[in-house]
Amino acid sequence: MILDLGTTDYENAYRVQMEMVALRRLKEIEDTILIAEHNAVITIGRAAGSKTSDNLLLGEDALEEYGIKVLTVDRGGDITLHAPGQLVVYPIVDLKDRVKDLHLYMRALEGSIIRCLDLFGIKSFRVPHRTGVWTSPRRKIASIGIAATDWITYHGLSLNVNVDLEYFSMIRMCGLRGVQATSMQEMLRKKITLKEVKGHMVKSICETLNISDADYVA
Amino acid sequence: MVKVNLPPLAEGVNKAVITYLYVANGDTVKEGDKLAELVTDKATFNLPSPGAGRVTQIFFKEGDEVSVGQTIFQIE
Repeated sequence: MILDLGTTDYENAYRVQMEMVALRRLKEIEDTILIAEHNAVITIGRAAGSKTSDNLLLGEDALEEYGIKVLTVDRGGDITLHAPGQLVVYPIVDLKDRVKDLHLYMRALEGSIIRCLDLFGIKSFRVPHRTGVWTSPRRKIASIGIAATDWITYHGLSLNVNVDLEYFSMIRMCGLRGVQATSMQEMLRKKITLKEVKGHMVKSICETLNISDADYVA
Repeated sequence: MVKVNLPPLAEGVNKAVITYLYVANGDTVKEGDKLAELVTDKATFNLPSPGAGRVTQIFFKEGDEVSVGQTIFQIE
């Protein structure tokens, strides 16, 4: 099943994920793909080790001026930014029915993004020990951070389609100096919309995870 | 008495870090309740309780690194 939440706050999408995880545990729903676009928000994962992160480069006042919330979340990874123009995908998948391997699952998500980007003529790849999808060793086009409860996954991936890359100057991506964000629009040097990408990304991830997308219309 | 060990989370991954303890010594839990949150790379894993009972021992604290197979909780 595919559920398109449209443009929604991060907190709302999180609530929906928790509801879907609970239903999946009870086997009341099948594996489900949630897709969304978020209003600008910075999330800090548990890897940061606290409610803030050294990789957040702006102070509270500046963030308030921009209207950007900072939330601590229960996913792997350190700091991430979501903003309009980014396609966010949250697969709710029971790994007990598949292979109980969190890293293999993340590699599968990366593969689905790489195949989607390939359809648009964008060459991308994995970088060992740096989860995500890259167009060069220092330019990241998609981020991944997942969580699992009773081997049922939530959180997921975000693909930069036409997001304003200026947002990323607020954080130090991956906690590494010199790593920059890129987007499909920047790589293609032409305008591209989320709508153009959604259908292909959904198809790619559904093929990867063997989930039916028959009910989905982009 | 049940010992709750760290299961294998991914091939080639032998350790994970405890980032959050959902329970304290003496807490009563049901089967499936989250006991601890562990992180490996960009993946978070919520360790569920295998059964109902009372948490009688917690062998690690938040921030500790745990190896696959090590006992984290004892439930009676």
